[in-house]
Amino acid sequence: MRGSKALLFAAAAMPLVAVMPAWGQTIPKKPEEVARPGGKLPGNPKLALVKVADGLNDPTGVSVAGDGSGRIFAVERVGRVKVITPDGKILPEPFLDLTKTNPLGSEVQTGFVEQGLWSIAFHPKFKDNGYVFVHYASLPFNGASIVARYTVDKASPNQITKDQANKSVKVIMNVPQPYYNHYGGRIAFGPDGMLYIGRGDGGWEGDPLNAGQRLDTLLAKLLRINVDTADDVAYAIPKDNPFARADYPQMMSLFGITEEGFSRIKIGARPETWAYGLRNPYMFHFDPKSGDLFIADVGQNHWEEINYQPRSSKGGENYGWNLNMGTKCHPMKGANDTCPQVGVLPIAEYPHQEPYPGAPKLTQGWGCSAQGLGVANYGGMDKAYLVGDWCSGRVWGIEWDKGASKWQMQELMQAPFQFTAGATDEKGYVLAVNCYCFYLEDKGPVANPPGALWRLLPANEVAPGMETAKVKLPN
Amino acid sequence: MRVVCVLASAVILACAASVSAQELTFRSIIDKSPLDVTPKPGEVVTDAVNAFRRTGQNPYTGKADAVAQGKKLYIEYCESCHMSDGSGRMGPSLIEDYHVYEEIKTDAGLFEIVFGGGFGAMQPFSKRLSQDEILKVMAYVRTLMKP
Repeated sequence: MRGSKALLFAAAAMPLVAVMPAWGQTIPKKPEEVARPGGKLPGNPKLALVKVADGLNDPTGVSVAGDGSGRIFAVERVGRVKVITPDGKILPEPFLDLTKTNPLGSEVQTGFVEQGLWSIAFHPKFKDNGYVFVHYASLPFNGASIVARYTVDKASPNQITKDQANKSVKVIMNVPQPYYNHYGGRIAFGPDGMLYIGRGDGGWEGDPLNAGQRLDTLLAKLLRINVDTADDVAYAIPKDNPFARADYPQMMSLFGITEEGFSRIKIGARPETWAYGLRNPYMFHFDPKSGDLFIADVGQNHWEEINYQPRSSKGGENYGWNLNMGTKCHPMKGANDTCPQVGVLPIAEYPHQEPYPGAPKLTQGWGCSAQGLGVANYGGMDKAYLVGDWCSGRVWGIEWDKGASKWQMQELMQAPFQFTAGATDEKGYVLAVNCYCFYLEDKGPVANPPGALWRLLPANEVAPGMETAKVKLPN
Repeated sequence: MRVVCVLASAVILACAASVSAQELTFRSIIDKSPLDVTPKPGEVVTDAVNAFRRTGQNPYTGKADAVAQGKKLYIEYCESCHMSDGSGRMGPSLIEDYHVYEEIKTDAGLFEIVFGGGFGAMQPFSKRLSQDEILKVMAYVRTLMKP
């Protein structure tokens, strides 16, 4: 259980039953209970995108330190982290520059647009220990994904110099990457102090390695590790991870064990796994208020899905990839496919312009790639997960409707750019970044037109002088 | 200042106040605000661009050399989303009867979409291409569309 003491063998059997947490949210058990575009959030929020800073090279992530400094940290794909001061200035010297730490060249592989530096996470005790963690595709390790820790020198709070970086670096995890796409990306500390890592299925399309349903690989998972270990220990497995003991050495007993007991034995299962069956969980966010978790799992040709776990989750959720995408079958062949529903359903899903092969093109409510931005508790929103779409520029809000006892999904605006990532700032407002780094138009991580950092403010909190994005608001 | 209206298929698709005596005003399809068509530093304003700004008609339409150059640009900048035949995948189809932006039907409207950008991934290609290059891409896109 996140935030509780160890529960050995917790949830090794798949939690196909709906979870009934506090506040009434239920996880859908039937496809018709999954929210889709066209709903209405209870508070019917009106939002504006207010520009915070401009001139970021392919921003792929954003984070805050949680140290009360008001600084925002924008992640640039090339391998740099930039500091944005509370008054919107981008400091010229990067906070961290992984293109300069290795004298033989960059640490970061950026050859494909999904490769690069994706995320920075600040240790819950960052103010005391100065630990920051990054997740990126490694050039020296042939595109493997690396999680590494660096330590900020208190005498230089806005810059980890090359010397300090090389002096302090600790590699936490190195996961080989089979193909050049579907890495996942975001890393973040949960309310339990554990580090969560969104890890994609390793790429190509269709999950050719079947990573989604395999437990013996770190691909296609949300991982959960304990990084509070001695410096010569990369990380530890939290004892309450769902598969922490699934492959534990033990004597064989054939009798006196229940079938459920046998089912907990998963030889080869990776104990880092928190949830599986995910295709490309590039963005996931914890609600800063409740600790609940939302995962935006990027879909393939036809549907995007958003998953939810209450803080009381014991982990082990199977989100269905590569057998399902959202409530749909994979591979999708037509409008009326039938297939088993595997694992836990999402709370929301939205279609691409062609919701199934050969379908008439949709004119409304479509997208192509779900990028979670953050959980909003303001402007009439109560634990609303905001999701930006990479193709259509739509911003969706997904929120539990207490009155109707169901999840709602509402289009809140359509913006004239691609969202790549988001996070909540120290005041709880949702931040978002956009880039102009779209596959073939990609000219390299510092050659594309620069992107920007935005804040999603309630429309009635936009003050004179603030620059807002031209957006289309729903009718 | 006078008002110039571009008529196509008996529908008013663009109606704009011109600043100079001759040139049309092109508008963002997001909010209809005027687009700044001031050339970028070093950008050559060709005769074709000048003619287009006056008439809203793309002089490169049907011109083989320009279409060929436009195809190269299309392959580099457009194909990944709209596919080589314009049928679309991550970006919308350009060749079906239904269009995300009805403005696509006129040259002026197509320019407004490509130059000024649309929603989401349809970024403003004014950031990447000259206006002359945009006209060439437009000429190639017209060859993909159904007659």
